[in-house]
Amino acid sequence: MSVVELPATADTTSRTRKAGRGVVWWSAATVVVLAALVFIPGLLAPGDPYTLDIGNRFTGPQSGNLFGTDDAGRDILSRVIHGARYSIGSAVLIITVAVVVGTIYGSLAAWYGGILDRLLMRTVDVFLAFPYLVFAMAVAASLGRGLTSTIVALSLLWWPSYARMIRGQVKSILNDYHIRAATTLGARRGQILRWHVIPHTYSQLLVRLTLDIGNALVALTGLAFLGLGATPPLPEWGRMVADSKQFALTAWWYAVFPGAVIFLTVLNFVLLGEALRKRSTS
Amino acid sequence: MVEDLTVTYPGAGRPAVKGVSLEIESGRTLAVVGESGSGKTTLALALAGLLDRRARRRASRLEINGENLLAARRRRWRQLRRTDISFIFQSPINSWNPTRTMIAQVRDAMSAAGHAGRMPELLDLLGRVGFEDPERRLADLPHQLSGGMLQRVSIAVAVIIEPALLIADEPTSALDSTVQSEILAILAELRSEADLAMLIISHDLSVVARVADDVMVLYGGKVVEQGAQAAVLGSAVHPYTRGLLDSVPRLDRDRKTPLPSMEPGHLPAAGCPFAPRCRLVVDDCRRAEPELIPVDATLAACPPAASSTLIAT
Amino acid sequence: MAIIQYPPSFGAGRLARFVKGVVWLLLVVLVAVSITFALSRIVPADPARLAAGLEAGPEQVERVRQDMGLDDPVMVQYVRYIAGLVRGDFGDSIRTRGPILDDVVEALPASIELIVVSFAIFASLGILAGIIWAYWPRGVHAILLRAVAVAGSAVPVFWVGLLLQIVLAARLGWFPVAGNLNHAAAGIAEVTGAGLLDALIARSPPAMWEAARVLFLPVMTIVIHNIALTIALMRSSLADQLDREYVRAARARGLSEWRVVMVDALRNALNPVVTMLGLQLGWLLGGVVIVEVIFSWPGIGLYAFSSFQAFDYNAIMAITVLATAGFVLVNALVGQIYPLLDPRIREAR
Ligand SMILES: Nc1ncnc2c1ncn2[C@@H]1O[C@H](COP(=O)(O)OP(=O)(O)OP(=O)(O)O)[C@@H](O)[C@H]1O
Ligand code: SF4
Ligand SMILES: [Mg+2]
Repeated sequence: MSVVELPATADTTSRTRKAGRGVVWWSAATVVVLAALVFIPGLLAPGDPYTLDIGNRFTGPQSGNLFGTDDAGRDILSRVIHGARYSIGSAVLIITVAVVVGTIYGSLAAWYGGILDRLLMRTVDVFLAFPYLVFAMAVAASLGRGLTSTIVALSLLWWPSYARMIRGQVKSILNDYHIRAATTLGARRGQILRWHVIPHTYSQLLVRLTLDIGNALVALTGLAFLGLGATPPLPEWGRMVADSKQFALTAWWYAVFPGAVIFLTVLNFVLLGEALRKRSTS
Repeated sequence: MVEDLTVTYPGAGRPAVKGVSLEIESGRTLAVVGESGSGKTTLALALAGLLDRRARRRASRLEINGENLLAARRRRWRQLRRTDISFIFQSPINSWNPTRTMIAQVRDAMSAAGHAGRMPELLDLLGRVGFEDPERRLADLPHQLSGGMLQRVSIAVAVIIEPALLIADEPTSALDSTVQSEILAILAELRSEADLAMLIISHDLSVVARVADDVMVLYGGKVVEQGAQAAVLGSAVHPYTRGLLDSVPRLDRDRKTPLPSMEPGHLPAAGCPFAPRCRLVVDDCRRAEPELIPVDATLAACPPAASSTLIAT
Repeated sequence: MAIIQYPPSFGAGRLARFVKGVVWLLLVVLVAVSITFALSRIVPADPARLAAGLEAGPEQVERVRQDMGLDDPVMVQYVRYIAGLVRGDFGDSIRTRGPILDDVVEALPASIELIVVSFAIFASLGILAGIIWAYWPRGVHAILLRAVAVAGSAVPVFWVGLLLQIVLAARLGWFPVAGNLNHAAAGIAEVTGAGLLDALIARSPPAMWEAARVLFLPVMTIVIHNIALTIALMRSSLADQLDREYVRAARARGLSEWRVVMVDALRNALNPVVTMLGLQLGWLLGGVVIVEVIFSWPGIGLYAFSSFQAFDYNAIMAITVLATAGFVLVNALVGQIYPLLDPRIREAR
């Protein structure tokens, strides 16, 4: 899981801005499609992801099986479609947990300041000093195999960066004039946080979220590839690539299609995040 | 000298500098005045071959020392900057790399100009322009020195190559007033010693009065008035120049009349750029761009003002 | 992940800084160990059961459990484990039944070779490409570099590795599908364990060629992913510097483009890139596991993978400790580079 944060390009001529808007629409449409895969895979998949058909193993891409079949004769396209729930769903879950925990933690630190702030943030520093992927592997491995342990491991890894980001944002906004104005007008602290502080962090957070869902997906499927994730027969994408490894030299499609879907999904989130960032800065 | 110089930045509707011609004889100082965004810096950069690569430059003549530079390549310009053109920038602290010591950067400049062996001379010169203890202080990083000190180094490095043209882009506006007048005195003195042409940019008319022989007034990228210093400051014709002069607080007048303000960037597409703010504006002004015409002792781009001046005399 | 400010808020004094750095290192490692330890004790999997083997009866498993000290209270086990660590004893591997340290020492050279070669390549090429992109922002190369930067950062490493393996090794046969340099077949002695280095020591060009060929695919896999970020960050950082007034001023003084860009601007632009390269090493420590698994590269990553598979918890914790310590150390070293690039930091200390 590397941190995909492409620097915004400097030139904001009208042409690139227009192209940026195109990217946003395209990526947003793709996100809708991905959401459909997550929620209603049954309606979209051509077949069943679990039906074994040993007589039909390792058939290459053809009209009945666009992505070919795997070592148990299952339709890879159907498996990919049903797998979205496990892969994308888990990535979203990881980031959601990270955001919720990070927001509460970071806001507390910024709000109370002083020793509590120092203590909380030093803890965050410790977490950020871990070699993240190794740490996630170790945690996932210690918890035993399964999608849940991987989700726990990655959430454990991800919240500190949000805690730090939210703390920074809340701190700077707390110094902002209209917060001071609101306080003088007698607004309660909780109200201020709810109505003034949190909405302000949205735009930056949105960019970060978009990029991080992609990052989480890469991390999750990477761990699954190492056997630290979904267990068979779940059609999780990383797991499928892992299973394909031993047949990679004979049945290329088995490795290529699920991997390509991961790649394109992540690419989509990267482009969307970048386009959102450009819009929020210009 | 340049003739009919026009510079356009990409993405900008109108040129930043439009149809400017000027000539500075060696031994003389031309001051360019005008408000922020009027194209002063762009003009100066064009004369030193320092424009952004993306900027478009057109001119019918461009010469320094009699050499035609219209087709000069970057290499030639660099050579010229080592031997014939010096540039002093507005902000002393931004003119130096913040992470390298002054001595290293000064050495770089000296050896680029082929004067690596003249360091002792430079240290002398620094002493003369009021930079005390140069050996020790030059070992510092830029932010450890004051703006006035940094600008003295810039000046020394600029004049040691004995350039034919010295361009100073608002050399004092980032400094406080006592330092300002020290720096101006140094510039005036060095100018009188060396046989060089100087272009000084300023929006401070008192600076212009102190150092300039000739004055050029820019507005919206165009020359609106041009002439000898005494003539432009004394009997300006163009309404913009007059407004500029009137807005300066003076002892012999009890109030200052500020120019009517205008939103920045709002310049008319055709006609006189000053029309939206002009008190003398007539319909003709919005149609054709006024040409520079001789009026009294100056050249002014304002037919209505010109004719009224001529009638008055 | 946010850029780690390393080391966090240090006061004055060389010695004080060093001591604090060591304390920080120990603290981070301790927390990492504690978390992994705690998690490995609340899971249902039973190490004793695994260690005893599938055919073992209940009494045998019980005996193994006692031998391994697994029936002691968790706190006792924890203290015992930490005490072992302090003595440099990582315990025994359940899988290989030998001291973990021996296994690690044997696997380390291959991994270090892979990491060092990959890092050198993607850092240098990435910086170079970023410079070119920043200096000439328009043109075909810019479009190409942008595509590399975006695609490279989005592509899953394991998939790239498999694709390269399928196409370049299996189909075209240009490179071996998997494995490390076979020292015996190449006719050189195994001195360090790192193929390229051993071939160099043996002064055997054919062996060096073979070592490079074996390295190529795994290295390329790592490079493709990691170079993306380096290119993008180098470009934006240098472009930012090139827009500064001091660059124009240096040009005005007649400095050559080379000096202006490569001496003045580049030096200032490198700081964020260096930070990020340090952080990327954190990724690399994990990423190398994936790559070693794909190409059966007999390094620490493959060892880690086998340990995960076997739930060899002692080995897993040892790897966590070593990787964490390595990462913290590298970032501490990176912290030493800043003052070299920016003397204002040196002075502030
Ligand atoms: N690098 C650039 N790219 C695009 N536009 C530019 C650039 N530099 C200047 N401009 C534009 O050109 C116009 C003239 O700018 P210039 O810097 O020459 O004005 P100036 O008279 O020096 O102003 P100031 O007194 O603020 O220094 C302005 O409208 C400015 O926005
Ligand atoms: S030409 Fe017309 S608008 Fe322009 S300055 Fe003269 S009177 Fe005013
Ligand atoms: Mg200017």
